[in-house]
Amino acid sequence: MNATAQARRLAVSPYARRLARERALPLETLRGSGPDGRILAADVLSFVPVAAAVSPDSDASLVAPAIAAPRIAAFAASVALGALRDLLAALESSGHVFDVDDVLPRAVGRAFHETPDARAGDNAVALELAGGQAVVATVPEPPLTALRATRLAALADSRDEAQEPAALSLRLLAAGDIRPMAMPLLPGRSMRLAVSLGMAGDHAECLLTVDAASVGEDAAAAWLSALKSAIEQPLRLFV
Amino acid sequence: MSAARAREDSRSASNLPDRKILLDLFERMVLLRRFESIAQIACRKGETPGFLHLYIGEEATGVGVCAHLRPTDWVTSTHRGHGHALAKGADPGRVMAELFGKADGICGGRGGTMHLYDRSVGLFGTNGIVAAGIGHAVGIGMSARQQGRDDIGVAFFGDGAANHGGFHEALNFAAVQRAPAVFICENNLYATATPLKSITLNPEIASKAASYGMPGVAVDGNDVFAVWLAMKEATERARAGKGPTLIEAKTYRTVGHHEGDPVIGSYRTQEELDAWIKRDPIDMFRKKLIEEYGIADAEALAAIETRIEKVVEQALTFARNSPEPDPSTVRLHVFADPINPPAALKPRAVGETRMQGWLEAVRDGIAEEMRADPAILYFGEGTGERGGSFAHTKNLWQEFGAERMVDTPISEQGFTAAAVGASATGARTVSDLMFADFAFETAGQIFLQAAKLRYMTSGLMSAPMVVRVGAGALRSSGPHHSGIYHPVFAHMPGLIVCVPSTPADAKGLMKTALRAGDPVIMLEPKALFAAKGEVPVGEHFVPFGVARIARAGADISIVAAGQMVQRALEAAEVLAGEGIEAEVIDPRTIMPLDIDTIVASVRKTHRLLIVDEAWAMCGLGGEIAQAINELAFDELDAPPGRLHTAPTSHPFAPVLERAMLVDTARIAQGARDVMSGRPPVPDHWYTVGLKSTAPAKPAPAPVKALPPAPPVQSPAASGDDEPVTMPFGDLTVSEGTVIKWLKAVGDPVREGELIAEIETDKAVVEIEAPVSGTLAAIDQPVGAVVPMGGRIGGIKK
Repeated sequence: MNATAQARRLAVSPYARRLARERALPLETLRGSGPDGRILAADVLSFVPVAAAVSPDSDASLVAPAIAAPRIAAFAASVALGALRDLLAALESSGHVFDVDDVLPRAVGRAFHETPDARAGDNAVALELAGGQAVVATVPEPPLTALRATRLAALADSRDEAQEPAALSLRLLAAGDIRPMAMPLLPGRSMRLAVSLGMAGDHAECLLTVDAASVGEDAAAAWLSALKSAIEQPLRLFV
Repeated sequence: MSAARAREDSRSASNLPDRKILLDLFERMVLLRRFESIAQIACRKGETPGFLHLYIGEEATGVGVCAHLRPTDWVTSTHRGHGHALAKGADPGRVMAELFGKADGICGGRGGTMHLYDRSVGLFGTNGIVAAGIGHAVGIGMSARQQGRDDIGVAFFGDGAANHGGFHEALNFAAVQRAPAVFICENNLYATATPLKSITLNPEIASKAASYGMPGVAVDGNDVFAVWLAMKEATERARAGKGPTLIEAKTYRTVGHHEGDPVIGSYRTQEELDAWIKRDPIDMFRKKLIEEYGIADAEALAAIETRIEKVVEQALTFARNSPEPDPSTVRLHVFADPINPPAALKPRAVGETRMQGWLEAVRDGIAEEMRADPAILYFGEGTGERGGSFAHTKNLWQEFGAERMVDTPISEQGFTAAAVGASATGARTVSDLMFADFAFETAGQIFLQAAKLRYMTSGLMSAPMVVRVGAGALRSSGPHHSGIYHPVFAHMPGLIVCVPSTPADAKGLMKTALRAGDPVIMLEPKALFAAKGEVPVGEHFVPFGVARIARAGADISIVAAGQMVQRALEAAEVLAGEGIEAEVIDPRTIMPLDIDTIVASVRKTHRLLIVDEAWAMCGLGGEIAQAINELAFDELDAPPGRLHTAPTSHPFAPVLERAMLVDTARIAQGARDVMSGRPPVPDHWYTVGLKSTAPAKPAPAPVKALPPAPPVQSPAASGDDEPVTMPFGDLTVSEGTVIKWLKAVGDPVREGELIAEIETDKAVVEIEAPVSGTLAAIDQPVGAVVPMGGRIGGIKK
């Protein structure tokens, strides 16, 4: 699904919209049964929160924070990891060991490169680690080995570079099979990418939260689309 | 009486009226002249909004006529009517304030120069519409007569109006009714700028009276005493019940058509103007008073003029100092407040009902009201002794007589104007136009006069009349007898529009209408004239603006009025079989529209379909759907749908007419479409034809001709005999009762021989043998009620 389609307006009947508002249900989690997917009152009334998750097989879905701060926009995507896992396995067999965690900062850098509109000042990425943040530059693009080394070192010495400038903070959730729905922005970061790796390891649920005042909605959606594309066709990340 | 004769009479001193009368004529003419001169200056300064048509030069006519009138007589006037208002006694200050559009004006600033009304002095109104007031005067006179007074109605109009249908219709109706009325044509030679001689081959307007069998006299309209004499005789005739008179006053305006228009223009000459200025009515009368009658000297007359000068200066000051009307009052005086008469608002005890046909129920309602209010007059074509084209006034003439059940000429404009005039002056009127389509023959009286009267007068006057028509499609009534047009009427502020759907509502709304304060358009669907229903016995009023929930349901609201209500109920039954419970709302009155009931229903069902017999463009469907957008947007779970009669004239061929009308199946499908979130998409905008690239649709397969199905299934034919049937006849009759069989089973019959009689609401129908043979079967015995087209027996050849 391209960025335009992701940003497309939801068709919701006025009554359904009212019912959802009264129940604090995010319309984006509902499946519309009306013409062209229009969400109807019946869709809201029959909504069961557990059943809300879109099937993991769907390649993308839209998720918004249930309680949205006025300046927040959020975009979600399911990203298939099969190709990346295969590639990492092949590299491992040739002696080059990388984790998905190491590849993500590079994919983030590539996404910034492809969608300069989404760039809000600095291109650096803050990796959210157990003890704090580790900031890595994306321009010029550091080698994967350097990224991995930086991450591992930061984990070891618990340094915190939260005061260092960075456009985006990257958070990995290890909870498994949980779709992030709303994540606050961290101070000084106009974007935050939360990635939840599925138990089966075949996909990741990504939530991109942006400060709407700094990053346009279309640009943010396009950025996420570029990220998804980069991870799902991972060969390019290694050249 | 000729002008020459009038002058001769005036010379005879013994014939002269009281000196005071003569001096009053002079004073009043001076008042009119000075008032207009001051108004002219104010207009030039821009102090009056809009422009003025000044009466300068014509004062003798208005003054000579009005000198005979009481405050309880009424005059109707023209666009050039300030003089009539003042001559009839309206306060100069308040008239001037009205010209200024001020709060203290005689109409509170809502009327203005061409819409001056004053109930207190009998001023029915200057009028922006040529000839519109002539018929009002007829009704005013008939109203006074019905109320037992000898007051009269007097119409002023110009030479231009004498070529207008309103003139012909009003004079003819007045003459045949011997209406206590006088018609004053102020012939100033030009209809705006068109010379009279260029637009008629008979410019002697007084002679036109002969066409209507009434006296017509021409007088010198600049000679106030000649006018006074002619009017004296006409007034006496009218008051004595001898009927109306036409007076042609030959006069001249010595100013332009309106202030700012050139005095001579391209249509008059300086010589002509100079000649008339020499015959100035005030100068001529001053000279006569001094030199001929010798009843006043120049100083005495100058003193009068000085006094009047002060009066008009005070009027000007009064107008200037009067406040502007309060803008927050702009919405007042459109309808009576409250819009319903007290009787209609009384809580109703549910009492006895009885099964009645539509026409009978409404007749009962009218008869009850006519018994209760002796001032109700009923005007209609054939609604007198004949009982109406639909038998809808049957027996009323017998009970109430020709004076009240007035049989009119086919002059919709004339008698509807009379209905306006009568209803505004103490009577109540029904103007029965037979078919809704015919209302357009008198559209001006309905829209421009009746509807606006309350507003123009800031609530001081109103026209509580009922326009009664058979409306809507019914069995090939064709392009000129099938319309219903309620959105057209409802568009006009000031009109109440009723479209009942049951005999009970028809009676109740008619009774409410006959007690209401405003003009009511009563559109009775002809298709329902043969309908029957339970009707409350006796006093039964249905208030305006209160919808009826014809069927309760939770899934979709269907709004339908008139004959569409039954179709919607049928569709609701079909839908119920599919698990869809439709709520059917019958608004009963289109204006006022009970939008609250519709909103409450949509809050319950969250879906809406409007079904309406009128057309879609600017129609009820769009109106109600948009109202729901505005009032209950958050309640909608699907876009509202609308179904209207196809945007064509009403075709004659039954197969075409069926294709045009909304039927039960289309309503059911429309409801399903709304339920599925895809309401029917109309195409009444006719934009496709504007796009040359629109692909031509393949020609549809020819429609197979279907025999018209009788409305009710005939009893099963017995054997192969030739059926004897109740013939299709009058549009509004659906059934009849067998009252006689002249033959028994087994009797031989000849083709064309009378074999049975069936009585309908309107007539006894003789049933003839369709073929020669033997009467083989009598399916419907005496007393049986037979639907039209239904079989009553059979003949074996």
